[in-house]
Amino acid sequence: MTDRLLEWMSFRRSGRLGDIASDLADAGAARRIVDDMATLGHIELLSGADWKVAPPVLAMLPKRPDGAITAVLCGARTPSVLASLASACASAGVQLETQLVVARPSVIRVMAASNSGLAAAASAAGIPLQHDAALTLLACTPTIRNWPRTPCPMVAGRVETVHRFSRSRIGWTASTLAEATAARSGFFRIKRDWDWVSLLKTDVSECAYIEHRAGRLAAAAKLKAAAWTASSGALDLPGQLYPPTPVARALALCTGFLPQYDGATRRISFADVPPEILRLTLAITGLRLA
Amino acid sequence: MVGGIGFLAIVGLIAALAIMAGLWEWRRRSRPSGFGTASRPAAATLRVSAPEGTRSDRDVDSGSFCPGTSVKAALDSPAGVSTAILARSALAGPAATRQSGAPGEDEASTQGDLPEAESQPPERGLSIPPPSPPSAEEESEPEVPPLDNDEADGSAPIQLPAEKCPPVPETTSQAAEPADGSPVAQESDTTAQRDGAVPLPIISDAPDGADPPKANGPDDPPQAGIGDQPHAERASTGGAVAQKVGAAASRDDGVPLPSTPDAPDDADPAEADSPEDLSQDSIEDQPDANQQTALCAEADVDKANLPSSSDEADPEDLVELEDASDPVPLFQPDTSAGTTLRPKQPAVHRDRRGKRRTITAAAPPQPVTPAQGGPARPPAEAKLRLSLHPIRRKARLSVLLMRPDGYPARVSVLGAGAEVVEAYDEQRYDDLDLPWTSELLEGELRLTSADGFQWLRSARQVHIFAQDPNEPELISASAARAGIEHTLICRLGDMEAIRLAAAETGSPELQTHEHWQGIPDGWVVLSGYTPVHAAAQLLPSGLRTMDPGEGLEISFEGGLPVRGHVYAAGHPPRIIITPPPGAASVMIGGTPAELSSSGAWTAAGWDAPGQHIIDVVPGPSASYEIAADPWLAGGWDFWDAHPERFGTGAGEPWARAKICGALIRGPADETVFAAETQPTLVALGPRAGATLLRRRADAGVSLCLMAEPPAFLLSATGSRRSQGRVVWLGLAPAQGPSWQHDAEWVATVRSAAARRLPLVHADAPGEDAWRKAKERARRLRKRRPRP
Repeated sequence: MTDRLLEWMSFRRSGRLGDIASDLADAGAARRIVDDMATLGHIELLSGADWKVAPPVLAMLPKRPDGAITAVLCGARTPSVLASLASACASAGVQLETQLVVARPSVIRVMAASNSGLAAAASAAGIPLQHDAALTLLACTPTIRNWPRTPCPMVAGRVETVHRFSRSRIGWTASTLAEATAARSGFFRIKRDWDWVSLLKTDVSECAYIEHRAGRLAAAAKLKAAAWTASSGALDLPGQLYPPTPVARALALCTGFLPQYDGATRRISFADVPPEILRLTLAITGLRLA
Repeated sequence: MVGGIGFLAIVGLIAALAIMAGLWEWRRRSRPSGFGTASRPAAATLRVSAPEGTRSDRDVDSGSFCPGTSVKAALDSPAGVSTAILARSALAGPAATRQSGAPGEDEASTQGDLPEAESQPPERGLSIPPPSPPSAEEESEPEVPPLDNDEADGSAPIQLPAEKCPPVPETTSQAAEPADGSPVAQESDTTAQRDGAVPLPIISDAPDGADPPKANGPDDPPQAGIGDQPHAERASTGGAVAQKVGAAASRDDGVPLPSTPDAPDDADPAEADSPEDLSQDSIEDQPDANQQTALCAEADVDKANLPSSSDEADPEDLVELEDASDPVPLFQPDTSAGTTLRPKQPAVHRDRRGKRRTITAAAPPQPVTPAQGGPARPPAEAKLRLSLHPIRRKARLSVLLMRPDGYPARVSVLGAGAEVVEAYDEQRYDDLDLPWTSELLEGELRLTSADGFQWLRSARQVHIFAQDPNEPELISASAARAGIEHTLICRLGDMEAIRLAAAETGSPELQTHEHWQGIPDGWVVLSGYTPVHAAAQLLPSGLRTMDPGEGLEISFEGGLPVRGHVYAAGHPPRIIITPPPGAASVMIGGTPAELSSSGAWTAAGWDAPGQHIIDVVPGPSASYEIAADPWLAGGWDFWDAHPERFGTGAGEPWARAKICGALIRGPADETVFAAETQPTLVALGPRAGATLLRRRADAGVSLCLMAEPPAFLLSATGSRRSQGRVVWLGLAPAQGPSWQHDAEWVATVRSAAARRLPLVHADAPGEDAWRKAKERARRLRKRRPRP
């Protein structure tokens, strides 16, 4: 069904979350699906509930130890794109593989023996090839410490709820506006009459709006919360520390799949993360290995 | 004798005095007690016993009980004018009062204008001491804080809106009817004596809900409303104490009302922060006085002083921030404007429903050759909107240009004065007014934009209009439907044939709109065409669209609808006609359609990209569009989805790179190449181009922007051969790399070759490319590049 949704988005080019028909995605799951599609690099989320489909690109995955060169198809996906890619792969002698994913768009992979073969197939298909997409994306992503934020005055007046992101618990705890006002640092989510705001405090009198995923990571800076398994390359993170979209996209582009979520441990796991991507991820997120 | 006479004289004098006293007492008692008679003694008492207090003074000065410069003006004016005068007086302060005369003078003038019963002076010297003379009041004025202080602490600007604030009729001062003059006079009389007086004490023993005019009986404290000091305080910023009295009295239920938070300009921050104080929330939670009196002045107080005013963010922007998980919040807090609750955005109302664009050209638009290189696509549909004004007897016609998928948001229509028409929504453009000439509807109507887009309305013998639930006025329809009223436009010569055709379908008699303005000669508008059934006989070919048929309906099922009646290529809808049309003919795009085994109607090319029209003759028509695959129509936009991710360092390559999905490109569409940081990293093209990768200071990665995809990466950690290597990237295109002589590339390749750095990750093409690169570098080593 999400393959059809991605195709619809590709025809539509851009739209709002509310434009998605119920036969394409359940109303309750539409937001999550769209968010996952942004993580996979198919679309970009704009301000509010707007989205816009990204152009198709073959994102090259990090080189595997066995030397295989693999790229996944990201971005817009229509029958013509698929037909063009299939034709190009056939002519270039590279392998095209489609793997169905439950409730998410299928993963279309192009596997070649060398970069040259992959580049030739991409060129023949007319689809751009992004070399080492994960590393390049992370290289162009600011660190959480320098993540864009908008300085703002402290929230005042009546608020409904205030939550503080607990660094020790790696989760939200109830707080008060007075505590938030007096705090020298911390990340707060404040529900006002009409909205939520994500407020990062770096001093008593300094606070700024920041994207909430980045804010949580900022609050958890230097926390030994990441775990990496060398044999499998799995990078585990607490679910509450789900990285911002560019970072999550880069980690997802190590395999082309979304991270696995373990409900028992409430942790997410990105697979096949090579050491160089791990080091760069830690440098950007500010997390440390446990 | 003399003593007797003297005694009698004394007795007589005493008797006369007694009679006079009795008369005086009788006359005094016979007067109706009222506000004015009681307020004077009370005011005098207050003058004598009131302690000094700046806040009370300001209340008196700025309250609407103080008529200020001209009580007569207040008496002669309606309530609203009086309020304005009071507000001005409050702004001007005691100085203004002094300029216009001492309170005694005001009082004298008031008395002179009052009715006789109101202007009686005797009670001044009866039970209470007389009021202080003006000189005494002026002496006490230095104790009264001047209103400049109010302005300094910010209350004066807040009073300005009070002048604009319309009086609330339910309030006390408005209850004083200016028609008879007495209540206002009493109130003015009372306040006139309090002008310049010493501060009033807080008297809060007024009965709950007491209406001051009613409560001011002889035994009641006349200043019950004034005694509600917090309310007077609150209202002093708005200059409308009189309007606040009623609300204040209703709040006075024995619970002391906080005054400090209500007057932030007077508030001591330390006090405000103390836990004993009522919080700001508690104040905001008390809606009675704020909401019942609905004083705009008070709203301004909140805007100006409450810290939340400047702290609050635009809700819509923050919702976007919340929903979008956008790393760059769009919200820009407005810290400078303390009086604006939300960032100002220009309110642009663009309800262009039916907006018309008049074309000044006298002649109808002629077909124009599309611009060279314009998009080759079938023309879009052009509809007509008919406006009939029954009173002015005026008819007007405009064109609705449909906007299929891929049509721009703004088009410049050629042949119509190059009129720029903007999109109304995703379905159509704004109306385009065309001069309704005799030739306009003679043939087909074809419009072309400067960039080659076309709209077409085919020629027809009769133009049928009907109501569209989504559009005002009448919109052209392809065919008539049973049970719906239609309006027809036809030539005058066809009118009789149309009347006969209408009768064939059971329609009532058509109404002719003759001599209406706007209808050209030779044309006529007929309204009231409501077909009831299919035509009993086959109508003439040009009039078959008037035949509703047998109530046929065209519907679409399935497909992948991109938007309304637009379906994605490869996923066309199933065309269903119910009930089966029988003898009626079905055409799709002008091609006879067939009923497939699945029950859907198809025709040759019915699922090809473009617009298609389904015609059931006799019967309805419908149109749909198959949207072409965007991959075949130019692809998708590449844009920088995260343009502000680096607030600073915009000149760095990682900050200038554009990210869109999984594609990262340079600002000039360069290739972005990144690698984990090494001491030496040089990206090399196959024949030219050598770019040193720049290292990020905050992460162990380096990257560069290259005009051509690199073929090699020179990586070295030291000067030894074993510390360096050449990595085959294989990203360069097989054909078309640059042949330009690049000395830097030559030097780098020569250096790597001289050091005999190993080539890694290379397949056969990679080894061949490196060998050629070394040969080329050797060949060009002594040649200087051309300037």
